[in-house]
Order: sequence, then C-alpha cells, then structure tokens
Amino acid sequence: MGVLSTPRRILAAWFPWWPVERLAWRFPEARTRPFVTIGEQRGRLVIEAVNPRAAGAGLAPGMPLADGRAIVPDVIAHSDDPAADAHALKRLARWADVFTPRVMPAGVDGLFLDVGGCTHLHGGEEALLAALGVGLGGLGLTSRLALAGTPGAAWALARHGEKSPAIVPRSAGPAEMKEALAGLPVAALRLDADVVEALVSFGLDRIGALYPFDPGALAKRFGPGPRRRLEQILGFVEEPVISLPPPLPREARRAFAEPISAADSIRAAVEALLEDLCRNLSRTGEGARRLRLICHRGDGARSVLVAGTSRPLRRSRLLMNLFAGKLERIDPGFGIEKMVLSAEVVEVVEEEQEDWFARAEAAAAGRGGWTGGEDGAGGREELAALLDRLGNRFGFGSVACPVPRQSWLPERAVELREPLAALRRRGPGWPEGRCRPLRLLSPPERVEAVARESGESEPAGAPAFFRWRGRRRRLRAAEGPERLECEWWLEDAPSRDYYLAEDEEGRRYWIFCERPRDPAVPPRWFLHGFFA
Amino acid sequence: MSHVPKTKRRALEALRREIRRIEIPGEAGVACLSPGIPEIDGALPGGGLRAGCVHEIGGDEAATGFCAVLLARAGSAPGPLMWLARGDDLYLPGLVRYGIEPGRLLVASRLRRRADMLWAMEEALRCRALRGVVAEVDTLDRAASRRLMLAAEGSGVPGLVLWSEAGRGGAGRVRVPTADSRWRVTTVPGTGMTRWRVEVLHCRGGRPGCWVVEMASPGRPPCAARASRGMAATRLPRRLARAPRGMAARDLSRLAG
Repeated sequence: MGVLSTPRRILAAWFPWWPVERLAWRFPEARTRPFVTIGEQRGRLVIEAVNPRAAGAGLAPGMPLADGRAIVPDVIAHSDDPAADAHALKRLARWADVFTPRVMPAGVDGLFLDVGGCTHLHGGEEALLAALGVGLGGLGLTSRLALAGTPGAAWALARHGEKSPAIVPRSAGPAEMKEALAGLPVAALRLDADVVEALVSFGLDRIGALYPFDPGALAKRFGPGPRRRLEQILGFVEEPVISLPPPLPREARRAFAEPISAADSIRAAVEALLEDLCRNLSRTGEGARRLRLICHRGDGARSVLVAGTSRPLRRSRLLMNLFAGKLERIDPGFGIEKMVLSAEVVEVVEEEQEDWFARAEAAAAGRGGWTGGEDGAGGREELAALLDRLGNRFGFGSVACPVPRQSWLPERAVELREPLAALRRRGPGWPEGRCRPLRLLSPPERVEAVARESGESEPAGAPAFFRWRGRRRRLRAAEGPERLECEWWLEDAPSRDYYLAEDEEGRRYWIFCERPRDPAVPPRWFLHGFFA
Repeated sequence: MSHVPKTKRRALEALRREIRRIEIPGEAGVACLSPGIPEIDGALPGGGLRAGCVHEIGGDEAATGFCAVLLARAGSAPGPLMWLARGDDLYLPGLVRYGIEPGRLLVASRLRRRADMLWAMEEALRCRALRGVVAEVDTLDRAASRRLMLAAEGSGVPGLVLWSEAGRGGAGRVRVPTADSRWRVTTVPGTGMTRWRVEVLHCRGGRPGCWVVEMASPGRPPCAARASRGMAATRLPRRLARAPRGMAARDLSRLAG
C-alpha cells in the first residue's frame, strides 16, 4: 500500500448465532423456542450451535444432545449443514455489496467488508455501521460489528470487543491500534485452538501481553502463527479482502443506435443475444429452462416472447429454433430500440448418464441399430428438440412419461414424469399377473348395475347388467372379484371389488362395486375402464 | 397360389421383390415392423409393416391393443416411443401387457383439436430418435395424409394412425388415403378371452386377409399369438372361433388384456 493511498478501512461483521438464525429463515420456531443444530461426533449426537433461548437455558455447543434434552426436554434439534451455512453466507455477502463491492466471508460466521472509500456514500462510518446493523437486523440476524484499519483488528474487535459497533478511528497509528487491542484475549488473534491453549498456559492470555516479546522468540516457541497474526492486525503485513466474483448476469441486452424493424435484423439481434447469454451460462455450468425476450419499442410499448425448453439448454442454435416460429409475433412498430433476453429459469446442466440412447449406441455398434434411426447423443438432442416444440405449443406438462408407482389403487399406480428425466433410467415394472385395462376413466363413472344372484360359471355378486351413458348393457360373462382396499392413510374410502365383465358385443369393461362398511347402505357401482 | 408350380412361384417372388425395389427406393434397407404372428407376417411384404410409412389401424378397443403390440415390436431397437392421445385415459399398466416397457413410452395427452394432433404427429414422425409413433386421429384428408407420409419417409419412423369406430364416420371408410397398410381390429365376442379379429384391408405389396389372433400369455410380448387365416370372417375355422374346452370365464382375467 503506497503512502499516498487512503488508509484501509475494514468492517468485520460477526453473527454469533449464524447457523441457527439462518435456519430461522425457514423454520420460524428457531426464534421463539429453544433450538439447536446437531452433528455427529464419534457416534454421538452433539450440539453444534444454539439459539439465544437454548443458550439461556444452559445448552452450549459441544454438549451431547442427550444431555441437552435432559436440561431442556422440548428443545428442537435440527441437523447441521456446514455447506448450506457457507452457501448462505456467500449469499449474505452478495446482499452486503450494497455497502461496498468488496465483501468476503470471514470464517464460517462472519463477513469482511472493505469499506475504504465507500463510507462517505453512507454518511460516514457511524452511519454506515448503523445502516448495516439495521439491514442485518431486518434479516433476523444478530450481529456484532467493528471497523478498523486491518481485517485482523476488525475481526478481533467484532468478536471479542466490549461494545458493538466498535470503531478504531481512521487516524489511529500502530500505537493506538496496539492500545485498542491490548485488552482482548489471545483467541482474538484467529489462532489454532492448541496455540491459544499454549499461550494461555504461559499466562499470556491478553494480546497486550505479547507486545513486549521479540517476534522471533514468539515464533520459536509458539510457531509462526502469533507473530504473523500480530503483524497482520497491526497492518505491518497486508491481508487482502478478496471480493467474491460478481455473479454473471443471466441476461443479455442490446441497445440499437438506430431502431430496428426488419425481420432479418430482429432475427440477427436475437441470435447475437442468445450467443451472449449462452456464453454466460456456460461459465456457471447452467442451462436455460425458460427464456424471456423483451423488445422495447421507440414509442414505449414492449413485446414479450417466452420460450421454454424440456431440459436445461445453452446452445444458441437450439434455443434459436424455439424462438424461430415466434419472432413474427414481435410487432416492431416504429422500431425496436432495445432488446433484453433473460434466462428466467436456469438449471445445472447434468452430465449425460447411461440411458436408452447410450444403449442405442451400444446396440448400433454391436448389431447395427434400427435403420434410419439416429442414435446416441444426436438422438437425445433430436428428441429434446421435439419435446421443446411440443412443449412450446401445448405446454410442457402435456407430454409425459408414465412410470409405475407403488400403489394398489389403479388411479394412483401411474406417475407422470418429465420425459427426458424419466428416459434416463429404467424404472421398475408393474407386478405381473394383474389385469389392468387399456383405458382408464378418471374419475370412475357411476353406473347402475344389477348383481348376479348366483351363476353356473360366474361368481355371485358379479354384475349381470349395467346402465352407462343411458344405454343398458347385458353382461355375458364376468370375472372377479379382485378386492382392492383404499389407502387408508390417504383417505377413508370403502374397499372396491373389481370385475372384468364382457357384454354381448364383446366389449370388456372394468367395473367395480364400492362396498360400504355399513351393510345397510346399498353398494354403488362404477365403470373404471375398458379392456381390449 | 397352391396351383402355381414351385419354380414359377419362386420366379414370381423374385419379380415381386424387384418391383418393390423399384417402387420404393431403399426398400431393401427399410426395416419392417412385424406383429410377431407368423401367419400374418407371411402375408406382409418383407414380413411386416414397413417402417417409414404411415399405417392405418381402426376398430374398437382391440385396435388400441393391436397398436400397442405393434409399437412394442417397433421398439425392439432401443429408443423411446410416442403415443399422441386425444384424451387422457390411456392407461400404461394395461399397455404393459402387450410388451411396452414402462419408462419408455412418451404420452402426449389431450390433443383434442385435429390440427394440433396432425401437427404433433408430423413433428413426431420427423424425429429420428423415436422408434414409433401412434396418433389417435379420426380422418385425414389427402394433403395431411401425404404430409405425414413424407415426414415418416424422411425419418424412417413408423407411424400408426389409430381411429375408433365409436368416433365419427363409423366403420368402412378410408381414413388415411396414403396409408401403406390399412387394418381393422375388433374384439371377437363371446370367447371369454382376449381374442381379436385382425383384418388387413389393404397392404401395398401384401395380401389382404383376415385372422383371429389370441394372446397366448399376456405377461410376455405377444409374439406367441395363435392365428388362423381365412379370406373372410365367415370362413374362419370353427374350432378357432370357439373357446377351448375347459376355458371357463374364470380364466378370463389370466388371459384377457
């Protein structure tokens, strides 16, 4: 740092209840009731973080959960997730960039903000600290803030200082800095736990106690840590605040010097926008699921086009196909001045897995696949393009891949999956030997039926006639019943007796009789499907 | 053909093949889609329905089942299958009995408008990744039918147009003017088991005929169907039109589809 440059001003924020207060965004009870996060250590569940209520009741990190439950029986325990904590901290860092663009996570529960040169924008250092405190409070975070000339000093003051927010004045030199930090415990130096323990065992429990020692002697006995940290907090050694890389915009925009209105120009502009967008998406490994193109016209009107894809996509040529049929819907009016293309929904592009197409490739290599068929990745692309076209015309829910679901109830036995995801793996089949119709009426249609008293070959209770859609059908044969109980954990419905019945014309029906538990209530008949 | 001497018959066969080759370019390489029933396969050119063509299949519910059989056979090479349905009543557990593997069939439902259905079928037929397309269309005019044929020809994907006699128009009408083959499949009443009357009304390069087929074992793909050939339904051998002895209605569920 040159002599003429402005002195560094680093703001450290510490969130003493970070993991719990972060979870409180999703679980509001973490604010009002004793709440802890737990992790597993050597086969035991151990409390990792607590909220103020739990701490007030005597729970502390490191305590086995069983002990904690003995003290506070109704404590809510939630498994900890350090990765999610870190991710949330990163998002908080992005939020904090309204104060300064240089924000970095500090440890697992704090932030560094390099506010040098930014404070006047917020009305001074005190005002900035107050604004940050209010902002964090609005997010439900308890924070301790400190502003100093170095990250180390700010960190130490935020965590171990007496008051928050604490400010080491801009004019403070090394001597004042030393004095401001002298009373803090050595743990404020961001040292390893064993080094802190060693220092404390020598009676060196305050930072001030280290000042008289020769740095070389300190390093000899306690390793390089204390010396380096001291130099860092006093500013003799530079410690950078590395801001997070800015998020790549998931949008691309073009403003035109001359408003465009020709179809060719619009098409070229959309192609260029897609190129830009796809370049951004490829850096984050994402693909677009839904795109929105907004064309701003000279007279203030806008036209908007939306296109969806069946899988995350970042190939501009394929995305262009989705827009191709829609571009004529853009009304250029007196000319389009600006176009904004944004990826509204993005997903991570997954690596290809073994699936039908991979098998197709293998088959093609082995015994020459289906003639005329195109296999492998090309086939997947082609199918995805088809699904895109169908999806953009009929809606993405209209094409689905039905797969088995474990349920005895016919209407629940099928699950509709997204086509490309479902084709990726082979699901389980239906249990063999169950007789199911080709077409299923949903919901089942109420019919009037007459049960057989007894028959030579047909079982008693099977339907003999039924009236459906105004026509009476005589049933020549019936097979059954197959009794299906309803899933009582989902709904309370009577059991059903299913019969496969054939009428005189040869049509085969799937008819069921709802048998109420109360014998006084007459059974109701329904038609549920047709066989071939 | 039994009155034709063997040598002449062989020459005739060779001539027929030659004519087919001239008629349809790339005929030799066009894979065929067989119903898997030897008696019927034998009446079809090349032993099955031509891929890269549109075929018309009509009738009652049995036609749906027969489409499923053909589609399952079309999918013997890996790749997804597509069913374009007018409603949303197609029920996969029922289709599985005819050999369609779950997780492989893509179903587009509620394509109620004819224009939508035709557009979707044309798009699907252009997609070479698919192994077969079934569309529940009622009637096609010549232009639409021709478009579908061209789309199928370009990609080699077999297309099946499934129409229902219960719908408009009734039986006996030509639905797809350019169809490569035209079928009518109906259930045979009174047999107490899955038994279909399969009629080839027209087949380019093949012979029309009528058979009664029966699902031998529903769990397995229906290649093991029994068939009998007759020029008309009235000339069916009686013993096949009747249920086998001891086959009471109780066995219906085991055999029915």
